[in-house]
Amino acid sequence: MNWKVLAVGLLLIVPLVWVLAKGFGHDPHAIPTVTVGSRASDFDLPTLEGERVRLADLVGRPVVLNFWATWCRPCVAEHRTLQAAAQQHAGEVVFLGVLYGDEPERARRWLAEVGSVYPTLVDPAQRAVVDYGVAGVPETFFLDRRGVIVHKVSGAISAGEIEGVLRSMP
Amino acid sequence: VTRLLWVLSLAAALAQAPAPLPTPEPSTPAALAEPPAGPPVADPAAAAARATALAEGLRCPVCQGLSAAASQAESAVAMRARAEELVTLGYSDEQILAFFVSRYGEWVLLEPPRAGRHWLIWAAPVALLCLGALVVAWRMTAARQVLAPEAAAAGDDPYERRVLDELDRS
Repeated sequence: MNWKVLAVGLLLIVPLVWVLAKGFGHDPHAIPTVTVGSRASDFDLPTLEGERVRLADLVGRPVVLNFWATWCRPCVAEHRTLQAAAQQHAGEVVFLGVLYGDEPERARRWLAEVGSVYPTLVDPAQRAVVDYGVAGVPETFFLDRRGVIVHKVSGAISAGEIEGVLRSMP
Repeated sequence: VTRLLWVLSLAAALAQAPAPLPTPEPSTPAALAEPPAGPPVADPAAAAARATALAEGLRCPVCQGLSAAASQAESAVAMRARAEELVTLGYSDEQILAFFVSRYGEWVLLEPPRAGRHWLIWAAPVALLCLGALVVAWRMTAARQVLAPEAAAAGDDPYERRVLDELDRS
């Protein structure tokens, strides 16, 4: 056996296998979440009904911020879950929706049909979308009492996830 | 009724909010905490052109290998708008890129920065090319060394020498 060839072969193949193994170990479409652990960007946005909501005014309460759109199926699917959680934690946790790439009028009509116990904010410049590092919808951010993002869920959220995160909040 | 419910919910959350925590930290994204490096850009066309150039180096979060400049996805449009807004305010290209990295991670840069461990990515192809050239040179030298003794014994052309030897034998 030619040991030199074997050594050179291993030298080339082992790193390649390591790189491939590392690559297969994670979802290539997953977007890194870098805002978790940082202070949430402040916003001062109108609701679908015209009232203004400023995040800084909510400091002291946990906030659940859900980016959604009527054209997004997972958003529609998670709507009831979020509503139920908002009702369960009414007065303790502030739930807010943020409309993403959708017409306010369409969202108003849809919410009038299905109902909502918390307001949805309109962000015409979509500034909050970038400030929170939102890639697509639905994305749900959990802010603790200090206004720090402690968790983010991409995709439709479950009741268990909401409860788990809210319970873990100090 | 729905509107009343969430207004009450929001009011209850605000009313029951415990005493505000000590002075909240600034909620502006850290990358934008510093003042703009330059004066505001008054020319909208110049601002748009610079924002487009910046967006060409940013990854569209929901696309496959497309820049934020080349995509019409909601998040890409939002990124372009935010870039243009920051350009108009006078932020430098470096500040704006740092802002996007702080929101989406280094993943958002289509081209890895030429700094720190990223140098490995830039240097690896050149290093591999040099390694290949070294291997080829080494193999050629080794082949020459094998042929050299025969050439020394048989003159300049080993083939000619072998033919002459055969003729001598016959």
